[in-house]
Amino acid sequence: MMLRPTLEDHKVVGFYTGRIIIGVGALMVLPLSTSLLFAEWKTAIDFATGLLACLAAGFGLQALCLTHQELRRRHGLVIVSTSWVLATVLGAIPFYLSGYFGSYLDAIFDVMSGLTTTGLFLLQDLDHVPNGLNMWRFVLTFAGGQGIIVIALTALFKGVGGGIYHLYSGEGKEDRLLPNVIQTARTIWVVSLGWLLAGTAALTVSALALGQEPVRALLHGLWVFMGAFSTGGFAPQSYNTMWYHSLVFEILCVIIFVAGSLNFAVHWAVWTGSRAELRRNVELRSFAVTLGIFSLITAIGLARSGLYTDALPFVRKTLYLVLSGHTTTGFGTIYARSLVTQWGPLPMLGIIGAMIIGASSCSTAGGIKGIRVAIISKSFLQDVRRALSPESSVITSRYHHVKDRMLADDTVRTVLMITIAFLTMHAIITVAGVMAGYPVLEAGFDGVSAASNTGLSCGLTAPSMPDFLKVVYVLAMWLGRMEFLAVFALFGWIWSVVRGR
Amino acid sequence: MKRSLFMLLIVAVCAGFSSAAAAADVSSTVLIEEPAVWDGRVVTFTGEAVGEAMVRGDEVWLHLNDDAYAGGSIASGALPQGYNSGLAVVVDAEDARVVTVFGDYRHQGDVVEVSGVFNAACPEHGGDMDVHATGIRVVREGAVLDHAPGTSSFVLLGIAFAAAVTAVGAYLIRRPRD
Amino acid sequence: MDSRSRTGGRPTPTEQIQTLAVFATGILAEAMYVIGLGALCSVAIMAVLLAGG
Repeated sequence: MMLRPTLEDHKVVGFYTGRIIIGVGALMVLPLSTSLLFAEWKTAIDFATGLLACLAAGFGLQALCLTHQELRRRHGLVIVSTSWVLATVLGAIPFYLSGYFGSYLDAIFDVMSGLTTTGLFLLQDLDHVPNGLNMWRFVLTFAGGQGIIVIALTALFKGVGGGIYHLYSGEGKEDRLLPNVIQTARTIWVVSLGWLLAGTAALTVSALALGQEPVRALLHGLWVFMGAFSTGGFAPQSYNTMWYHSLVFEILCVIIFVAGSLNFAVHWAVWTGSRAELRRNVELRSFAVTLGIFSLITAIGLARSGLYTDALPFVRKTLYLVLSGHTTTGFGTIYARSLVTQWGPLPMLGIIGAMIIGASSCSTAGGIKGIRVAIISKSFLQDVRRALSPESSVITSRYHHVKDRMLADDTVRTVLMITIAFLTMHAIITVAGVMAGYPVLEAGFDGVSAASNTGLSCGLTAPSMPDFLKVVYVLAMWLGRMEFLAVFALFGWIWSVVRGR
Repeated sequence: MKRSLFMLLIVAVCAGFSSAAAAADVSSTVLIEEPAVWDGRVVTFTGEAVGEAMVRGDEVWLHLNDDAYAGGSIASGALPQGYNSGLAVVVDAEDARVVTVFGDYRHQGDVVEVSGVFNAACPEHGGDMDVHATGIRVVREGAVLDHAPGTSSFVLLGIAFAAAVTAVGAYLIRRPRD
Repeated sequence: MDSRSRTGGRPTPTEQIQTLAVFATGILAEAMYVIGLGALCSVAIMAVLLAGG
């Protein structure tokens, strides 16, 4: 039986949630100024309304829940979850007001997809949207990549005690880059902004060379960077990255989204001089192995289909899609339906496998994550070695992740638990898709894509899909991004309000 | 019943013949759903030019959308009717100059008809699905769109403003002063 | 709490440029890593095509 939270506990949750919501509202300044810059008045008004709504909710919550109680562990996870719920509902206001969505649920779907860096979308007529609206999509996905809590930590929190780590870790990030959580959050921003400058510059120059006008090249450069580095998968046109028809542009995208899928701790290690981390890190080794496996599966399927007979297109398409799936980005250089009508089952299964595994922990990516795959494999090998060794011998395993670590049994237990949770979710979401009347492979592809925060689609995800499936996808994106714990903490909190003592 | 079946058969046969004709008029949806059927065939395709013409040497990439918004985008007041749908088309740079207005938030693009060879996975262009257009003409000229915010936008803004002022006020009053 | 307080005062322009240079080489190192990984994978994929699936 759980303890019933006191009024003071609720106040702590409400107070800090309010503060984080102000941070989310502050993000709307970017699309708002974009639409003002391009004289998109109607869009500007929609964003001003959204921004004011966030301020009203944020300050309202803080005024209602003013408290002196300290932030503790039991609050941390619940604050993260309630912040995500509120951020999603409020972030959908300008989307819904724009008229580009079929319903408020659709708008919520897109905000959740952006914040969780998934990349599936229900926005309609993307090729005619105002720049301000497009900017909001990419700000959502870029901010979501770092984590909205990380944003709030960087700007809005000063000296709130030890409970703050639980805010940070609740968003699916465990590694501390620096001993202090706020400094860690700032360092995450330094890495992201450093890449933002370099990546946007490279993409903009490339877009200019590809025949875009300077302003559009800059916007596309920035947006594609944001979509790529956050492993989000949003793109400014409905054609996704097929729009650019360029090998160089695709290589730049690959570099950026693979970089985005690296653990922020690895970035920081490399940036501060330890290059060897790229070779030695267990998570990157695991990524390289699984990338090889799923590339081969996809390549075998595609080679048999005889679709791409020339070597360059064959390698280009295969690698781009597999990497996009494996890093859980969701960029595509083929039509969504081409996966079904041209690529066929084996390549789709190869990409599904890559999406399930995902990329690095404490990065912008989703999925089970390389470190868990590595730990499970190591632990399996350790058990085999134990079975073959004399009873008296002590068998231990080590792995390198920023520093050398011993494989501990309770680490394995946690890792297995989350892995099983992911696999169960993939199974459930596939069944939900089949229940809605879709073929099993397509239901599996889009379902896994949502639950692993990838965003590749084979055409199932559409504004016309049943509402219940949209809700399932929204929940799956959220659960996948939070890695379950924070979401279940919120459910537990609500449960204990009703049944606790 | 029998008669209607017979009519249906005739229609089906006619449809079959017409699609076998030299330049079949097809939609992007059909081409994407049945790429193998149409690969290498000459097709005629009509859609709204969106975004921009990207010039690459003596070729140009155009993107033509033949979706519900080709006649009127959401930006022009239409209701949401599904995703965009269209095809990428490669045209000779000289020929592509006839297209002057491209669809975006401020513009309803020129509706363009192209005819040329459809490639399900073009080896020349990195395996992309495209149409190599040999003929191109503007069917309907594009237009500049005007957007005036409606009264309801301002009303909602006012409500949000009032709520925000109240909340900030309440917070400032209750906040402990140190 | 501020990281600067440990080194005493604001970093000088030279120090800032040095930090920037280290970061830039970090980005380059990461980019090269991705290209290397991609190249290895491309070879494997190409082999599959040559083997005919």
